[in-house]
Amino acid sequence: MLGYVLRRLLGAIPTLAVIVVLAFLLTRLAPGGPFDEEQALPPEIKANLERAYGLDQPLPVQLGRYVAGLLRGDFGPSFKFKDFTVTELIATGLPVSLKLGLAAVLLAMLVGIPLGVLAAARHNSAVDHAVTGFAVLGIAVPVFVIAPLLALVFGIHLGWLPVAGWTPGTVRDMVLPVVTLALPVIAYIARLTRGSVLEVLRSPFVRAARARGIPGRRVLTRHVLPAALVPVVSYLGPATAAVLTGSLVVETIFGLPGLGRYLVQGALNRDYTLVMGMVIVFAALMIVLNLVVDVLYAWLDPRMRPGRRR
Amino acid sequence: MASAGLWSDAWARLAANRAAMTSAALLVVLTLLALLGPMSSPYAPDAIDWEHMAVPPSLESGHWLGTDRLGRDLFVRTLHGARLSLAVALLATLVSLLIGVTWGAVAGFAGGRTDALMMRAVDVLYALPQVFFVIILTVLFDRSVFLLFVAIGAVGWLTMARVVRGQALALRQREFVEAAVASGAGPVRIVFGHIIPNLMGPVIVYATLMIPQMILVESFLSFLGIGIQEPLASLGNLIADGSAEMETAPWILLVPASCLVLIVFSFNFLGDGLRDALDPRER
Amino acid sequence: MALLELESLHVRFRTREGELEAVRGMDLAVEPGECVAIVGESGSGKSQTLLAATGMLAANGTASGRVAFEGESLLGQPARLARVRGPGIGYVFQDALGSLTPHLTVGAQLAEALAVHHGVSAADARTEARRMLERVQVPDPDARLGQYPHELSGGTRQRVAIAAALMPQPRLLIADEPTTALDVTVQAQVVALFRDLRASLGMALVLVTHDLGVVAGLADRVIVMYAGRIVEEGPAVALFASPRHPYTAGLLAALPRLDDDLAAPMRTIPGVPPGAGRDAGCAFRYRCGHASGRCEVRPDLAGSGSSRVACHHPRDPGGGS
Repeated sequence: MLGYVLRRLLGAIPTLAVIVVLAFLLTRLAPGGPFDEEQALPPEIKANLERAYGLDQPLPVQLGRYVAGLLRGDFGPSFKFKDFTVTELIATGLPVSLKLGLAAVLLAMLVGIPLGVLAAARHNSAVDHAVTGFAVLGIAVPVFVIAPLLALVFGIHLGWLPVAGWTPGTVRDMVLPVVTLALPVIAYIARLTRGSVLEVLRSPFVRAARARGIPGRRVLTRHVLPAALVPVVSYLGPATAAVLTGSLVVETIFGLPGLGRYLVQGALNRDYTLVMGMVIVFAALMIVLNLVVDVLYAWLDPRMRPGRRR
Repeated sequence: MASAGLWSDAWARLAANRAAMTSAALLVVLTLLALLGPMSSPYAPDAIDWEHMAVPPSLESGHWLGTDRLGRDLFVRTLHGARLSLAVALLATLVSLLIGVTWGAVAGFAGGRTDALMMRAVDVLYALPQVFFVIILTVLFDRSVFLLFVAIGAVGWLTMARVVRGQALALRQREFVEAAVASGAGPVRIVFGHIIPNLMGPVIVYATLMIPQMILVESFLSFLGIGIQEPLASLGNLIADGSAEMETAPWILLVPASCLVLIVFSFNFLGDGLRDALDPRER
Repeated sequence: MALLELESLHVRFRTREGELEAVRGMDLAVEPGECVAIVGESGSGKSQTLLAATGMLAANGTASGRVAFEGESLLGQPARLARVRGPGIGYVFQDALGSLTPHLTVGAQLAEALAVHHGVSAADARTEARRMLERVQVPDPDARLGQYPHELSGGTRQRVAIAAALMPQPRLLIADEPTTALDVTVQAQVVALFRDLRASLGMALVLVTHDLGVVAGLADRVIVMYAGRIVEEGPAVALFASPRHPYTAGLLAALPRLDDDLAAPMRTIPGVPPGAGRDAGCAFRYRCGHASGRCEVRPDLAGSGSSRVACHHPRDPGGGS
């Protein structure tokens, strides 16, 4: 298993390399630069700035420098946040985004899976219809609508929770952002789990387990659930993508100093190095999380285990 | 091969699906409203009504869905926004279809190493959420509506490519394709003449399900200020406007948000209905 | 007292095309230690009879009539059914790989059935699981305990599935097409295994099959079903020697024999089994060479002693064919 993980990590390097080169080329080939906005700078100052940031060099040299920097953990200077390097911004933003994202995915699983199982176990009951309805709603209502609505109801009308801000270490600040990020994922996971459990319930090994007299609840937890969770686990990759994407909106709306907000700021300001740095970190996160998903997969379904075939 | 009977069966199944038909009707009404509705209103989308700024929905003011903080009529602006959002989504879907179907059909039909390489490229692009690529693209180029749909479309084709490739792989083994190969038809002719026409079913389903995704991506970007910019209205930047004012004037948020949710809902139900109609085994 | 008793059991399914009656009044008594075979084409209602008896019909199915196990009525008694399934009635299904939970090891699945019903400790259950694997002649049982179902061959899977059903020590084992999915050589082994098990464990066996070769090797008594009803029943030896219902005779004639001319076409019964519609006459009359006007009225199941037949034109007992 360890060898498998290492092999997968090695296999991710080309993917990451392609993304780095792609992002680099796209940013450099584009018309317009970070110093084009607002009032036009005098040409000599612009030239000076470009020289200072190495933008006057030929492309391959720039790419070489950038990659060499990356290998040392140096993502270059931020054009807009002039007092910070991109690495420093990542260092401050990553913990915030990771906490937010992990909490959201965890919450989504902890709520979504039981909801789905409950709906399936009481197929066609009122509970089932309620869960299905909620799932449909959660899939059609985007994060950028949920966020202001939740803030409006819980933050402003009820005044229970803060609508903005980030004090390190406080849970209260995280509640609304995490719930906002988790809601659509909860909806999807609930729907997925429900369908999957219903399908596994019809499978012959469940009938055989019941025929052996295994009690219903035990059949559900030991025979049905592990098999039913396989599609849920494979959804974790897309779920992570959804949470990362949602974090752009959530961090912006709730004013959290995370990677997503830096990416949006970078995008609005054409801050190439910042955008590229964030994109690379996000891609690395996705790759690692997809690997975690595959390992979980093998744990749930012995047929998926590497090197264990008849 | 897809016969006329197959399509009429599918149509009968779709017609029997109440949720899908209601959604389809709703979409038609909404589209007509978006196209013609603004003309029926005395207000232009950017006309400022100095007498009625940020008024709630009411009949007396003449703005039955209220106005925003600049006194612009929300009914008209939301319909304008829906029109632009729908247009961008449809065009982006078209771009995605072109790339995705071609890519998938070629990979699936070519098989072997070409297939592996082409699908590997798809995997690499899958490593990052779509929106990030669109953001890179929109950062780089001018923020025009044209660029926006091309960028969204150019990124959204991955799933379509996978679906089409899988279908094409299966089709390749079917007799009529083998017959075409045997009769000396070239690969281009086989892909465009035999494989793609037979992929119509799943492609229609996924395209229908792709439109709401595209609408969401566009609104998402516009919400963040990276997509469609003022003074143009899209559902995304209307919602952004609304969320800035929600403490004092929640309807500015709720009107475009409801419109967006309604559109996304309808497309999803229609897409699900189409899938059930075209592929009854899926149930 | 009979171990399992069915009285005028009916099984109906609600389907999109309307109600469908799969079993239309079935009477059956299985004595302790006895082996009864139920034969018939697919769709004749043999599997549904037994699924209904054990409360395991699909969600759209309902059973009516009377089902009793050791004198206790079971229909509509989920609590009793739950107690009977396992230690009372074991069930072996046709689909061997499908019958084993893919993500649990063989050892875990075998031990579970015992632990649940007899409150045995995990270690003891495992020892017993190993003994059971030996008993069903699985090679290298120690290694098998830690393996997953997909790592086993088809024959071993079926043996493990049988072992799993036997773990709670049922007094009656239902085996639904236990050999259909297996290679011919493995089929013979499984038949031999059932014979051994019956001798050593003294349990009753209900065998559902359309394979008369399996029946001949195992059954004391044979019940022939057609379109949801019994058309003939009797001791295995007598029924094989002189079938009285034309359908039974057809089934026997369709059985391949070792001395068959392999080039000749297979003998089959012409026609297809009827759908489950309502019909006042004998369901077999459309495919029957002896049908007459009388067959428009359904014949009752009647006869002397242990042999009974439902036919207006039964074949001569001594006649054979």
